[in-house]
Amino acid sequence: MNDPDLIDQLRAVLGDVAPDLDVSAVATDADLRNDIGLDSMDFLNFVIAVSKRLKVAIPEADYRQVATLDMCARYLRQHGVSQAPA
Amino acid sequence: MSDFLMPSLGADMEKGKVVEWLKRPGERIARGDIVAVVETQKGAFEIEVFEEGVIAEIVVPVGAVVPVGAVLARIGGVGAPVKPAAPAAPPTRPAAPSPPLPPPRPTVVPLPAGERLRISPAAARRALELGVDVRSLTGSGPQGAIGIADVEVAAKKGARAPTERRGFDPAAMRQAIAAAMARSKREIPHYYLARSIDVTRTVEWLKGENARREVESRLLPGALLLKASALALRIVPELNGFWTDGAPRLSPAIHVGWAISLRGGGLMAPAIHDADKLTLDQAMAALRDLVTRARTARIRGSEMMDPTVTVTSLGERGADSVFGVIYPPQLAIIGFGAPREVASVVAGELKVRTTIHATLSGDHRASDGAVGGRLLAAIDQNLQNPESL
Repeated sequence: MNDPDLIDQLRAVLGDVAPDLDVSAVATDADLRNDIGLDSMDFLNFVIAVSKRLKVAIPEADYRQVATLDMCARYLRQHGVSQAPA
Repeated sequence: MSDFLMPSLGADMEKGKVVEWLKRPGERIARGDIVAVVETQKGAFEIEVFEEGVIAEIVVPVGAVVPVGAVLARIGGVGAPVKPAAPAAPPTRPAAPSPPLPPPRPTVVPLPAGERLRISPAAARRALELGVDVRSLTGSGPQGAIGIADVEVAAKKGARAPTERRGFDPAAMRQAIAAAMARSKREIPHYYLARSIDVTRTVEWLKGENARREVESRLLPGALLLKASALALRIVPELNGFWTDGAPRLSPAIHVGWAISLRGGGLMAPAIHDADKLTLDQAMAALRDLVTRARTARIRGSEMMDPTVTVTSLGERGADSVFGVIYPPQLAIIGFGAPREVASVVAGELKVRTTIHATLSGDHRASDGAVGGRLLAAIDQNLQNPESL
């Protein structure tokens, strides 16, 4: 299914924007806002960090498509991310 | 020579513990320098000085608990005599409930003590550098020993232990909130007002603005709510300030305490100073900075000391409205519920509009409902012109 390396990259990003969160315990299908408890600022910081790290522009209108780690990985692959850069 | 005192970081604080001195006797200090870290029931805070000079003497050693107003250090002019640092306080009760203080900024995870873990010394060092929680690792070496490679792979996978907020104890935080809120409800006769504000234009404007902006300069609705509230308090200053000695004392400066919910439990409302003077971009940057520092316990003492009003915004996933409890000795708390699409009558016609419930809890000793109503009307008006915020 999803590239595990990409999910790991996303987990690392999540750990940067929410240092008080145990990212290894975040399920890949958990809603980052509703289930994990990111507020709008944390979520925006997550989107910024993902866009920068993986060099994919994520317009605000697409935020709903990156609601979970799985969805985010799928979105990134659809937008040309094949191999996550180290 | 002047005294550097244990500050009052809110109405609910009686005492604080010095957990770190960042300046030494003889060291020069400038206004705004962080000189100490103090732990309260709400966690650890960075304490600044508001004068220039030299640390002449450190009076209270690390580890000591002293009441608000106690002299922590003496500050002299440049060239003043300097006393050597006081020794660290002897541990009074070794079983004290306060958790050990993790070192600041770089995420460093202490290796588990007393647990037998097969890990090479080099790997252990690397784990410390990378902040990897080795307890979660399975080693690939002989008998499951953890090597450097295992640590580095884990670091890439983000197997980093969560950073605990310095000095944060959820039970103590609960006590602090309990004390402040009980005092508020005991002493402050609240009045409550609500106004449904049509934010259709505001939301559209924000959408257009964010579509044009790079991701890192996008705005959140919170920045607009912050600015609209701060500007409204200029028009209705009667709600900005404190109730002290049986009378309202209004503040010329508008320092908005922004309520931040903490994931470990509890909340805090540190100040965004002079929020009315910030541009929207500055307001957004200030919010981002404040939320980030609240999550990692790097809020400054001054931010806890001087909010002149509180704003609580529930965000788009929140409830419809919130009637806040005033944080003493402030005079008011402004609340925003989640924006919702509702059927609304506009010029005699039924339309779908996005609205938000703005509420005000006011101290009835200091003001009356008519004043509060003017504040909500001013917020409404400000939100109708987002481009001029």
